[in-house]
Amino acid sequence: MSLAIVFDEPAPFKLLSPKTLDEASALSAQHGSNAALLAGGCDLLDQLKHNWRRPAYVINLKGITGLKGVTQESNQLKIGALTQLDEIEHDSTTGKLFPALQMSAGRVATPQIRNMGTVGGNLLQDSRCSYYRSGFNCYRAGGIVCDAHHGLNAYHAILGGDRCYTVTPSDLAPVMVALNATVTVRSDGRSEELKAGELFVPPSQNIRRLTCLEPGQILTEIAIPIVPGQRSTFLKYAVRNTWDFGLASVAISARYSGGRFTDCSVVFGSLAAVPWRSQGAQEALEGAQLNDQTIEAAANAAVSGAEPLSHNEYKIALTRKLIRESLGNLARS
Amino acid sequence: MSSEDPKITAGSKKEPAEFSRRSFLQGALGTAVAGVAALQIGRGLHDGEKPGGDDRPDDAVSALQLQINGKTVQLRVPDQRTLLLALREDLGLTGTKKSCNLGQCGTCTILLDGRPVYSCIMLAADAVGHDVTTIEGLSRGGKLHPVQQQFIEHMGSQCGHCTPGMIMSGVALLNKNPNPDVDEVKQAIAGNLCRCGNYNNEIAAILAAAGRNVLLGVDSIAATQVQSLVADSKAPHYLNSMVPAIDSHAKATGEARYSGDIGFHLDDEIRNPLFAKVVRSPYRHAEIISINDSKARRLPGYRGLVTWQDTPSFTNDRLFFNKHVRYIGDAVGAVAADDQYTAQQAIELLDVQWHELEAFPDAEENLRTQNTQIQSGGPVASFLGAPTGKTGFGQPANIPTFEYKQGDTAKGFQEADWTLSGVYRTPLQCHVPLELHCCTALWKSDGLTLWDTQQSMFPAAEIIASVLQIDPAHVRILCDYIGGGFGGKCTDSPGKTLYQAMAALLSKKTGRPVRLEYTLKEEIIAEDTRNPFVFEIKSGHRKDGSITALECRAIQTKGGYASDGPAVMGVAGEGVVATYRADHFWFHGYSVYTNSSTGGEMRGFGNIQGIFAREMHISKVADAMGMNPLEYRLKNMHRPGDMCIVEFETVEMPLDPTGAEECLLRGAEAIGWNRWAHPSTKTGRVRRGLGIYASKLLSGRGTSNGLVWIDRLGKVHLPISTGNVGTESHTGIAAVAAETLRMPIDQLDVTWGDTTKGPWDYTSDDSRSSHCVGKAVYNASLDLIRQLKNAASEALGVDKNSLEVREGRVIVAGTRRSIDFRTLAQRSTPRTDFIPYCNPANDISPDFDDQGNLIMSPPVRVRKETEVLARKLAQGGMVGLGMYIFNERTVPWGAAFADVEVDMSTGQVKVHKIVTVMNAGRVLYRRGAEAQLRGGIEIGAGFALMEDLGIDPATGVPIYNNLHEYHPLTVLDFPEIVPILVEVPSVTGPYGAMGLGDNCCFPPPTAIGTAVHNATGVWIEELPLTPDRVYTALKAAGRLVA
Repeated sequence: MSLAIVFDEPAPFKLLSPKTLDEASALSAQHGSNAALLAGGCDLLDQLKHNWRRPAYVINLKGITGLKGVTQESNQLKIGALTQLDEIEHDSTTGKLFPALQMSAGRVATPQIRNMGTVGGNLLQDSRCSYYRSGFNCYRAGGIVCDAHHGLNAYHAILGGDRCYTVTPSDLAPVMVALNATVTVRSDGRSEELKAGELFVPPSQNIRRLTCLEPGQILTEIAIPIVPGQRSTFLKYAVRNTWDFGLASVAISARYSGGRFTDCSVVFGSLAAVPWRSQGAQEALEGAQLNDQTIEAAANAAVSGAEPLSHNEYKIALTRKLIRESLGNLARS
Repeated sequence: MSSEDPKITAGSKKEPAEFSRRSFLQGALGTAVAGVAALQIGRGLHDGEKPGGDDRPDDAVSALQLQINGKTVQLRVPDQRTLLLALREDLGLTGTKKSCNLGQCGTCTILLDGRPVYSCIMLAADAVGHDVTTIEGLSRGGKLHPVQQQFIEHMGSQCGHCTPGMIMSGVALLNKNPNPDVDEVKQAIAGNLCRCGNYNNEIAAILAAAGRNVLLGVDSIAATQVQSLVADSKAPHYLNSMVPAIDSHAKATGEARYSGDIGFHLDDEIRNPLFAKVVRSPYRHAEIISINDSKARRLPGYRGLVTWQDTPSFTNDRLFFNKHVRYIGDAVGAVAADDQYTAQQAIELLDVQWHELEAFPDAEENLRTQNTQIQSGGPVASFLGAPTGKTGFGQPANIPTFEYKQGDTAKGFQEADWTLSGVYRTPLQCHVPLELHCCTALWKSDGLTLWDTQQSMFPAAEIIASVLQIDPAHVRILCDYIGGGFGGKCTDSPGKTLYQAMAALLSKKTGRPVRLEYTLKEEIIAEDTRNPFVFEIKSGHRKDGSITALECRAIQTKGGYASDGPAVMGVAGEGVVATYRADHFWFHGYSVYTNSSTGGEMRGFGNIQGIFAREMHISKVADAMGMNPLEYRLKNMHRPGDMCIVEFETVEMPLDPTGAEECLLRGAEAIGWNRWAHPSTKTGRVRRGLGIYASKLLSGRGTSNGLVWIDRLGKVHLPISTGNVGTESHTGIAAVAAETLRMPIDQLDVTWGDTTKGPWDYTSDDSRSSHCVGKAVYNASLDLIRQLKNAASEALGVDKNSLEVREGRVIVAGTRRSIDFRTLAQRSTPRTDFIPYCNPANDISPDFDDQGNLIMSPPVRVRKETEVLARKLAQGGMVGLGMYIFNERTVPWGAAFADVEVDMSTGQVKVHKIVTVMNAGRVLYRRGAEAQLRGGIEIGAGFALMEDLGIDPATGVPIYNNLHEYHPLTVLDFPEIVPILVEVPSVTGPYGAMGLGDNCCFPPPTAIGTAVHNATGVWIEELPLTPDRVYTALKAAGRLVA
């Protein structure tokens, strides 16, 4: 087991530095699981240092131009997948159009990680379940059990748990889903667009992976539609006030005028294996005035159907608190 | 076990590729398995297959051109090489320190194009085309960067291991924002952990570099109040000062060399060491049958294996390689290779055969069944007389490890008007110093040299020599700086992990120097930790609350081996019974062997656990009576003159002045204790509470030797042998010598870190350095003064009593006549007796000898190593010798108060403020003492709130084995701290000084725990106070608010 030998350096690999996207995608397709894609490296280096993955090749995407930067077009904001998180954290256009995105980027880990990590990498990171990352042969690892389910599960899912109870570790993911973003994936010389939500894979669809990309496919760009009058907000609770993955987070977007919400999106992070759109909370808010009753109705709806495990019932209360606090923030923004 | 998948064509919607992944191999979980399992550790590898699959290029080494600190540098490194290793190991730029190596601590922070990044999770190749700035590149033409200068000025470093990374983050901030406020500085260093808890000084230093003065309590960094009740009227000249710490320059420049920095510089004694890696048990309980390295031998660069079969035998419950392994991570052997990658590959290619045994993780169960499966003598670890003793092989369940009795508690309960019972639980905790254990072993013709992260140099040399069966005089230990010890780097008993012996064996076998460095997970899992405790307390009281009987049964989940567990049990017991007056008491504690992490010594050493249990219990007593908990403590605490039991010894001693009342009253005033209200008055979803803590504390143990000498040029030298863990006790001890000799600290040549160049000393633990080493140095200084006065009296023809010593001269009082140190030293003849100076009434007390026997009247004599050194130095000047044995009457006191907020719906606890008050006796070095009060909150609040190893109940595997889940406090989690130093001097300490170090981490568990009760009305008697635990307790009490 992985704790018998404790690795902390990658196994040797050859670093490939393609100059174009199609070259990168072809290399990835060619080597399959024997290659890994390197963007910021914040998740990949952790996996490589644990010798969890031992690809013979690492394909460095950072040599490819055109994958970084934030560009405003007439009806959408385009973000290159290799844009670093600190650029999103400080970009004034992003801050004006999509505060939730700026807030979530600023809540990822630490300043150093934000200077290294990319938007694409953040969306595509693997599960941070402690059992999974400690080498347990659980469902996600190809086994037939979830060790967290009957073990230590304070950080695990209260929504949508299905044999596996991991949670999405990405802070940007709920925001992209709430903002109805589309992502562009390049493979085999062609680009394909997916809705942000389609990027993420629940256990019922595939218990072995959190995202749907396969070797040869490279996430290149995220496009967020600009909606006039839209407000958005993001809030994350964690044990520590920096570094930690969330205990619970929420991204809310809505149009808000005359004291009423319309076109509401409420998407949770860190509560389910995928960014979890709460239809119930959205319906409770749609067309409603912002007052204590609406907030309580939304909070109740958000946790309706939540199934606590032995150690994470507090997350249900945390979710209600998230709704209360973030709706207040949204109204004030 | 999964294997490499065939390639998958892009665009296919079939089952995605399965990445090769190590699967969890442990055999049958938790059930008795008697069969022999021929398991390879790691993936199933077939003969001839290279790790990583067949499709692997043979030579992935690239030429890189890097810009480092403005210079162009050419490197040829393997593609997987990180920037951190390239900087440190290929370029010798060890100013950037290595710690977690996973991007979870910030120690390795460098600037890439001016932006802070973690160099450990960045490939060296990714630095090509960018500008890299390291700590070495900050100074300009020999002039330090302002942030470095202010780190020196404001004691920005305790152990200093986080300092280079912290400075880089500060520099990056000021480059972008030259005028930040406190919050902006905190955000800038949010990604830099400081395990010493020195955040306030780091923030102050960065603000000062921006031109802001923060000494006056600005922006929640409250200045320390020193409440001095010192009797003598003379103000000290060199004590209680704010001068820069004596080692601050080395730490602020990255020049400080820690044990892991050795071997990469042109001027190092060794270059190109081999890299070792330890073979560890995946099972909680097993016998190793065989290890075969035939496949590993085919790796170019593989250099050899040592195992339990190469271990010289010695009598102890634990050897450094064990055949019968007793916890996950227990060591059975080690390999060495030319580089870390080969060492990793080699260990994976070992063929290891195990016989898994039934695991016994539960302490109560092991007691009940009289378990002899872990240790053959029985389930209870024995205390064989002294912390330096061996630990035997267990004893029966009915014999406690430690027992303290006063009177007859049965009688006491009969006399009681009412009783109260409670059960209190404290968890495992890990030291997680930022500098991981690292040792390099080198054999030369005259013996073994070890560069080691070592708090106890001399005991370590003796113990390593003993297990390797060589003469201790042939073991030399070198250690300039320790990047955080907290007790985890004290090799002061043969029951410790003795990784140094592993390195030494490999070095002997391979004929090359061997470097053994832990990974973060090994630090957390394989090294000794702090053990879990359960305390069952029952007390009997009169109507007025005074204690007629205090009874406690304690169980310590000891882990696979005893290590320092029995001694910890003794101190835990003292923590329970020794603070409050009780007519009768009975403590019986059982350190029970279990198949789980081994506990050793960690800051607090049993006190932090025992005190939590006792203080929570006392608070419940006060609550049951409707009495204000402050009032209860003031009424029932021991007073000076009371007879008290003290550490281990059944000898009772009357307490000297403690400062107890002063600490409580001043702290109460600072928190605003008059606002304290009963929990029944609190309402709402978020409730505030005030908490309280008070205790008798630790001040040291054992013997110290002091040596101060003057060379023929008149220079005064002070070699110190207590480990430099960053407490700045070295500056405080230097201040003692300075005060006694009446000369400035910076005129002393203070050295440390070499067993061939310093007097014998015990260790830097148990809050002993300032008090015990300080007193020995004080005595040595007095011895020197005696010799100086004798010599001057003769030279000047005046009476000794008319002479004064100051500023490097001996002066005839009231005249201009004087003679300098240089002249006196040149005229002196080498001393021939080496009896140390001391005041036997205060300085000689009962002490343990090396065999663990208690000697009631130890002789006035320095250790052999000190005499050897003194003899040599006396040939070249005047040598003063001193001695001090810790006097158990010396008892500091402390108190603390916390202001806390609890969310009654989620269980979240937020600490707003902690007032921490400590009687230091006498403040030797103001900045150091203050930093301890603030810094102790890091480990104390972590213990109270969020540090948890996450032992999986089914398998015993610690799953929170990295810093993301283990949660040491970051700067953004640190509460506001109001430190108050009180000076009620001890009779025995140097100028009355007492110990501080351990004590400063005791406040949070109790202060926060009682504050949580005050806010919620619910007693939560188990730590840590995670949201899950608090929520569950509120729910069980029916007090959740929706």
